[in-house]
Amino acid sequence: FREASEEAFSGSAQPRPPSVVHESRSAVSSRTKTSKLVEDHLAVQSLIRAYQIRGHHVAQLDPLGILDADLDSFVPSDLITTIDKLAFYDLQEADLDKEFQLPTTTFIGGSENTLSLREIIRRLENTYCQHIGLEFMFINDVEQCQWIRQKFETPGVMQFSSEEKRTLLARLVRSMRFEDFLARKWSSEKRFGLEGCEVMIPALKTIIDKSSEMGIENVILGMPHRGRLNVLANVIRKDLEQIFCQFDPKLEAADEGSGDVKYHLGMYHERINRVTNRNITLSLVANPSHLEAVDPVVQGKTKAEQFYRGDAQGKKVMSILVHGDAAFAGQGVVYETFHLSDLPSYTTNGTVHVVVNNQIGFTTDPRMARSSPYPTDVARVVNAPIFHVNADDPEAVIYVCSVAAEWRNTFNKDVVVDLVCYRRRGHNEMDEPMFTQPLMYKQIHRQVPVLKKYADKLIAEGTVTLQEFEEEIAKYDRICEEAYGRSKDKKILHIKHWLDSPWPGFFNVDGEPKSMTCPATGIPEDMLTHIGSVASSVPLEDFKIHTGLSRILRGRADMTKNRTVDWALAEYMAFGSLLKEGIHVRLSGQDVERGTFSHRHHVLHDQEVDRRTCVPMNHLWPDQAPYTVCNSSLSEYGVLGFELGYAMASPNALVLWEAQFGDFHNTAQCIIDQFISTGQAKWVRHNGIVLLLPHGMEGMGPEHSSARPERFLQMSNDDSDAYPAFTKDFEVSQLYDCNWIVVNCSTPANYFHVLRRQILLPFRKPLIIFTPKSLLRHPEAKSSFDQMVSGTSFQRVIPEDGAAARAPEQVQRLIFCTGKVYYDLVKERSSQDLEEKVAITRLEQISPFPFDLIKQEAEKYPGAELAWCQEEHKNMGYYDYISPRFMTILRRARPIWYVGRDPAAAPATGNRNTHLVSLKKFLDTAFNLQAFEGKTF
Amino acid sequence: SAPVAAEPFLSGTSSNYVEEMYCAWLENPKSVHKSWDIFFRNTNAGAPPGTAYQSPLPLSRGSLAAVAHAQSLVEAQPNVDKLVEDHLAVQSLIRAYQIRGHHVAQLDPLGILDADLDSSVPADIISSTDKLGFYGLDESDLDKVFHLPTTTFIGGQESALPLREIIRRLEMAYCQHIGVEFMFINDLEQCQWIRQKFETPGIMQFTNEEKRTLLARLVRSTRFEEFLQRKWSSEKRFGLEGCEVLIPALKTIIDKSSENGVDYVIMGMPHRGRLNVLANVIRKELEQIFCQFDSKLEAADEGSGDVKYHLGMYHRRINRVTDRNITLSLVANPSHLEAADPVVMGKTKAEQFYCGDTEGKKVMSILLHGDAAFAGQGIVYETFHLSDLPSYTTHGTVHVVVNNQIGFTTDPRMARSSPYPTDVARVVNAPIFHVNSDDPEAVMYVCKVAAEWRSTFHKDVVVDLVCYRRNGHNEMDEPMFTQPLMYKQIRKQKPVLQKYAELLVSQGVVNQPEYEEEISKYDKICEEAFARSKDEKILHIKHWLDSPWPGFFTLDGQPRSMSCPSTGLTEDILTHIGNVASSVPVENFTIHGGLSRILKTRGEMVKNRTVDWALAEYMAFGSLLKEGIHIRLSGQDVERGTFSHRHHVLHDQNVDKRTCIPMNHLWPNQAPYTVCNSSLSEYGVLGFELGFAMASPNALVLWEAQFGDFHNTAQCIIDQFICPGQAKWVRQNGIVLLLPHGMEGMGPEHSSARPERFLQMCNDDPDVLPDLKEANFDINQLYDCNWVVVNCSTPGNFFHVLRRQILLPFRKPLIIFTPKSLLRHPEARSSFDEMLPGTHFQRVIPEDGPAAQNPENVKRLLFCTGKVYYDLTRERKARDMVGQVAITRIEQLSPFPFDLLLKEVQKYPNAELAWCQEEHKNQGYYDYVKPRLRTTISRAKPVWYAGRDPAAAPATGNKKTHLTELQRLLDTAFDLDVFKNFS
Repeated sequence: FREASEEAFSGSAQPRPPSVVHESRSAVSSRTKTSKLVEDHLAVQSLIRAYQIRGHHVAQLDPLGILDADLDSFVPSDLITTIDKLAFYDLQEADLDKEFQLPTTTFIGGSENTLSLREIIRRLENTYCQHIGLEFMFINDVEQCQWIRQKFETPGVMQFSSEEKRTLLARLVRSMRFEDFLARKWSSEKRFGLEGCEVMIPALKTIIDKSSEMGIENVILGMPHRGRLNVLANVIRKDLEQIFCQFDPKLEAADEGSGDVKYHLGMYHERINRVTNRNITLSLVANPSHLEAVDPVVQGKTKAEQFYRGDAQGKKVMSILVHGDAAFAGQGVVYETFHLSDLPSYTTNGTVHVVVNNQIGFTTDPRMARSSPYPTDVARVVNAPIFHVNADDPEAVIYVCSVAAEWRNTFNKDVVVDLVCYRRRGHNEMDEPMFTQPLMYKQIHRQVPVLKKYADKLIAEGTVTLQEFEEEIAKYDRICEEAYGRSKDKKILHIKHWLDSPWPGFFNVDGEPKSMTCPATGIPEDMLTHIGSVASSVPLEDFKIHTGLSRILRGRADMTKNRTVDWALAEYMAFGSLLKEGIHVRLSGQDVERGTFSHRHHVLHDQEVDRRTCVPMNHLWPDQAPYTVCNSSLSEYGVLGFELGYAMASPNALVLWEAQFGDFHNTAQCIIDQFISTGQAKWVRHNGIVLLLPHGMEGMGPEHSSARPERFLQMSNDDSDAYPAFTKDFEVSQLYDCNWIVVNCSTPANYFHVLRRQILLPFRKPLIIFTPKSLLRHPEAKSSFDQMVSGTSFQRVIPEDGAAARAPEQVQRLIFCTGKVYYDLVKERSSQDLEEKVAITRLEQISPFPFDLIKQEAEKYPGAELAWCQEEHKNMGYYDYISPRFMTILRRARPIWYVGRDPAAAPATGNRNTHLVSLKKFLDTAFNLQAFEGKTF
Repeated sequence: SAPVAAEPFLSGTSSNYVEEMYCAWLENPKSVHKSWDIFFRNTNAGAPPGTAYQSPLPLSRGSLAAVAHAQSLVEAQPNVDKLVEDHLAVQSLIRAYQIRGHHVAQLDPLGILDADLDSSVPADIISSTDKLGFYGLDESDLDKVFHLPTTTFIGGQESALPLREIIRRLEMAYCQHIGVEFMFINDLEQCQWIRQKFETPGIMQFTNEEKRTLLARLVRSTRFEEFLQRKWSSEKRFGLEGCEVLIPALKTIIDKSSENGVDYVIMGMPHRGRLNVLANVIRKELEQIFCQFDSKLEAADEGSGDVKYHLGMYHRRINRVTDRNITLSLVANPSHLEAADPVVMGKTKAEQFYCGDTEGKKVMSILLHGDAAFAGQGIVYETFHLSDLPSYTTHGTVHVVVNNQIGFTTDPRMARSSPYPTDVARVVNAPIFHVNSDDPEAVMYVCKVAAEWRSTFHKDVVVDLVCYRRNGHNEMDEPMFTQPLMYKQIRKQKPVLQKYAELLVSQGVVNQPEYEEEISKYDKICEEAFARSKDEKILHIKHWLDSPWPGFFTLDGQPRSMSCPSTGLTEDILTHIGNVASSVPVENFTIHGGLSRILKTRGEMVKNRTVDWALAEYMAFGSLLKEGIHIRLSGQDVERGTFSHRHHVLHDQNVDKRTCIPMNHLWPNQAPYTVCNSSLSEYGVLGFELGFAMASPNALVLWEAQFGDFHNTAQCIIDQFICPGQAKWVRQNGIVLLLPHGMEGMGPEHSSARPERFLQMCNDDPDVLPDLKEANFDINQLYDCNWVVVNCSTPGNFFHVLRRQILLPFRKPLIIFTPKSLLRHPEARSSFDEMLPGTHFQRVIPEDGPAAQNPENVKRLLFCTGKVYYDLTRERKARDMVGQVAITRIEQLSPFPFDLLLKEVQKYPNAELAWCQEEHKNQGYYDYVKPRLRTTISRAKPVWYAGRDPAAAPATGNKKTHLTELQRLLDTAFDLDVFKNFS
């Protein structure tokens, strides 16, 4: 029997037992049939699973019918595309009408438990191989898989009422006719039209409708240029004349900034959702040409909005990100953003991603643009389901979008909708795509637009009449024409109409700051003492900390007793006092909880209980604002973008990003260049984000030394050659005019003040701080409470106050410097006994340049040579920035000599010995009073 | 062994008819009479005897015996349905282990964290017998025998197994120290291959010899760190403690790959364990490593150097296991984690290209990653997306993740949103093998399979070494502050060497004295090397070069000459290239009508002996190809060109995917030309091309940005590799960056390539006037610089600078700001005369109009670079000031042409000097040029500025503002009174 039964499985005849009786033979034959039955059921189960896993590979996703959306024309061997493929499962045509029990992992039966194989295959094909391709079986969660299967497999689940169909048609009309209108009016203007993916408008609107229905009140969108004007007009509902007037080349800009092109601007709009009759706020975040760079920014803004509303589970606020296929696969920031999606301090509780997959990136074929089957495979990393859909089937698109919205609001996880479409024109309207994609574009030229297709279908069905359809078109065209008429009256562009994140109440009604002064940033002594004692204690009971940490806390307590602070304690004072004033403080970055240099310790870890932590900063005051300190993933681009977005949401928060080492900021260079430095100029959007960049030459090698101050200074927008007018509010108006503030504090107190000033200012500017490393523990780098009590302020310049200052006319050299080198200079001066001959003045705020105070200092020492001393190489650091500004303020009457390291390609040497030699060399020059004799300037 | 326990037929008597009815009904209930259907249905549903007979049976032979038989059959057989169900269940169960078994594998050597960040056991894994209920099975089914589906190999020779054994074997394969993630791969054959490698019973076996080798390698790995720790206890070294198994792991991958024919392995890795890899994998001399710990070590004057755990290495040796030659190279890298990934890929691709290894059978890459960076850094994703693109694939990389379950001080739960740090590999359908690194044999096995996978399928594969970090992030750091419980466990953790030695001793594979001897032998090696290292007083960074270029330099590593020959070409070469560039060299090839027009225009230019930009580039490339120089142009949309001017790949308008590259039809023995549209990445692709350019000096490797401003997403490659590469690693690199740049009213993006940033990073001193009389001044200057920055105003000069890049006796990165509108500007043309033999790249193009004829009448000498020149000449003409204002173009901005500019200034004694640029004042060139011009003229005159005001954004978004600004700067440039009142 064993062999006989074996045979049934193997299908090959083997020697039979010698004495087979008739009865047993027939039993075996029956057994054979039973085995076959088992086998066939196994086969059918495999077959169902095959469709669930691989059905999308044969779905008809490309509206053009020429490309395979998965870049592979190969049909998986386990899908029944022809009758003979049944053999893969050892099934045959005859089996088609047999009934099979359905496994519990499918819903194709509806209320039936069994179906014929023929019907099973038919239903699987309907679900998985038509215009929707579902990728979800990689998700490691049975419940989630079942949910998706139910949404798509249940027979007849995809049905629309006539009303819904008419709404869909109307939305398609708007989407389509908007582009037509622009093409008609400005045929030679770039607009990155949506033609070929008009369905995106109803798609986004469906996601918003459905989400609104499920309780969402605020949707934050990010998207690239393609179709952006259309989204502004038809999703966000920006006034059409505001859009049209941007096409007028003679339009003058109101004097608010240098502005941006129309397909980059943002928007904020509050309105009633017509479908759900609920209030909904939509905002589209402004973005640069750098594709996908806006992703983390949108997430950060979303997180902040959720935070401020106490929406811990993302039930009220959500984000939608629109992507292009090539960028989604090409840009690493996409991956970095996905990796933020489930981190406690960064999650937005699910994002709906919509990919406008036009199967081309500018001129590049998708086969040359990615190494994965689809552009969307990055979503597999976080187990987000991916719904591919043929964009020429609007109903399928709408269905998929409503499921995606439901998914997001059920599981609060990301989901991807991949709109497989085409790009009717070139990359922009002026570009000839036939040069590089001839056959694709031959097909595109033949392609009936989706609106026409769908209208024909509805007319044939009797859902609308031709006349109604034409009326709908005429109605929208008229709306456009009227808006166009009005747009001609616009002569001045107000970029502020395009603001994505208004801060109601922060500015006056004209958008101006409410004052042009900054109050003193000092705080009362008792507050300092209170914060100091909390910072040196463990505010929880039965909480055992590490003994090394106890020592550190004891050190803090001693300092508090002695009325001094070090760097970490000064930061504590700044944060703690702002929290008291209701300012939310958020510090994010790699290892910020402890601090790269193990100095901060804002999160205490119980040494005995796993994951029991304590954040003393949250135990300061009864009604304080919450403090968030969070170690980020090992990303800079993604995380800095996120924090920038977070800081966009409200002016009443201090949002800080700290780099592990300052040099790592350059992987986030795009956020710095495209958003932080230029954000206000381009988008009239203030942002008070603070960058903490550890910086200093300490012999650690070319990395971990430089935060590249020269680069930040180069990007400052002040004029080196313009002699300023010293008005009464010079200090604050200088800050108001700048694009960002660059400081390098030499004392903890000044660090404390600059952090507090950031919030007490009546406007917001990004603040770049070069922070210390070895100074964190330097015994002299401490400040007294006296420098922080009420009435004290941030010192932009710290003048020499020693012997030299008392007899300034004796001074032969006045050295200006910034940051850590001050301590080296002071030490060297004292060892050379030159305290009376050399004055040392520290520049603490480098940009905007404190012309007023520098002038005073220089004038105070009429007989002194002026020198700038820095530890950085000559083409780095501050010299190139300060030198022309010194010349301006000195009216080119006195030179400012350079003392520091020679120019170099790398920020620092890797050789310890070389480091020390070069340090010694420039210190020698600094105090060699003959060093510049005979030189011209 | 109860193989037929479930056999129901042995107990029944037979009645064919009933049985046939029953079987027919089972297959299709509608195929039998309705009464049979009801009967079987009821019986099957568990109707008690008697009740199933509600309808009389239409038995033709109507015997009670038959009825009784039918009943007994069904009774004996209620299980046929169950049998089907149970088999379905077992198939699901097997699949569940294949898909999700890794979630319960014991991967963490510490036993405290779940490698997948999730302690929940999937519902469909049988972790206890009651979980059989998930499948509708129970304990009694455990001894039933089930037929195995074809998708498993756990049976070995057997095709059926009892459920108990099925589960046991699945647990052995999927839930021990190896966690295999592969079921997301969309390829049946590949899945089967992996299943076979891990499921086949007894497949993971090692000979005593192999075990001893493994132990010896662990000894080296462990004792090396201990030696360093002993000698330099307070020095950072980013030791490997907690993942010592990495050394034998890498060696296994290399052994196995060598066995499969690979003879060149290129590696990239971060700092952790790097010294150990250098010592024990690459086999760098130990004294070279040890001497680096000497803080008094002086650097030979070759560059500013780098710290020891960043340096690269190149070494050729015999692989002891395979007795074959193998070359190993470890690519130098910066602290920026993962930034070396694309660089390693590019170098690998180049080495494959140069040895004709089109399938990656000879050259391969291994990339090491840390867990936090692998999940955190986008460049990892970008690099994976290059892995299967025709012009970028290296035919499979073995990725090894040192997954110590912590990133500096950060818990993995705060560091990633995926279960494992390795999920990025799912994107490209690469299998992922997680392994508990305290099981060295499991690690070796996994590495072996990974190497085999790579050489079988030529696709990427990931080995995830789940380990721990015994010390803090570096040896000085206290990890208990933030990870107290983890580090309590780590303190208790027995080192893997000790564990494994005990195992082998207990197995009798080695004895204790042998083991101790192995240790003391290696310790002695270290001590001896340490003694020798004290003699090293000078560090030669060139000993740490990862990509030597044999034959290119002299034996001392110096250039073979300090001159550059003429970069001009003979007229017939120009004409020939021009003709090919304007033709379609393949028969029956239909090109687009618009393109025909473009080619026709090129033909006319050739006839008129002129070139535009695209044609000049053609001439440069084509002529270098003739000289055997490989050219590779890569970047977004470079085949056609962002501005639709290049058209290096022609597309047949009628035949799908039929293309033609005329550049490859120039000469019979020419070098190959590669032009390739990249993925939409900058960081990854620029890194890749930099790596490609590292491999050989005899290639012109160019990366073109779609627009110049996009270079900043690759800023790390520029900052950490291109600009300081030679200074840090004595490694020359001739990569060319083509950065479209120009203010054309297109808005804040797409305008600026940020020349100011490149110029700021130049290492020359603005205040030092070099010795202008020195012979070969221009070449010396080039030799001393860290990179060359140019902005050509004529196609002829663009042609020359590209050719010079190769004709120079050394290599420097070349940054070129390339034009946009000038590509079509009718005046931006050059005559063949400017490109003939004897002509050179012009670092400065002096005024040559009426102003130059009467220089003493000139009131203002304007210096400029690039496109603004054409605006200036037009404006000058319009204002009729050709005699009063001279306009001189600086083509090579850095190194700064002090010599030529001094001549220019001296030529116009009465002229004011002004720098004119279209960029904003804090951008462009002004801050770089001004102090150097002042130095040139010994600060005798001011250098005025005519250009846009400083700004935060590179350009305005408003067209009207753009034009107003342009007019203003032109007005300033030609208003001769404008600087009168300034000092």
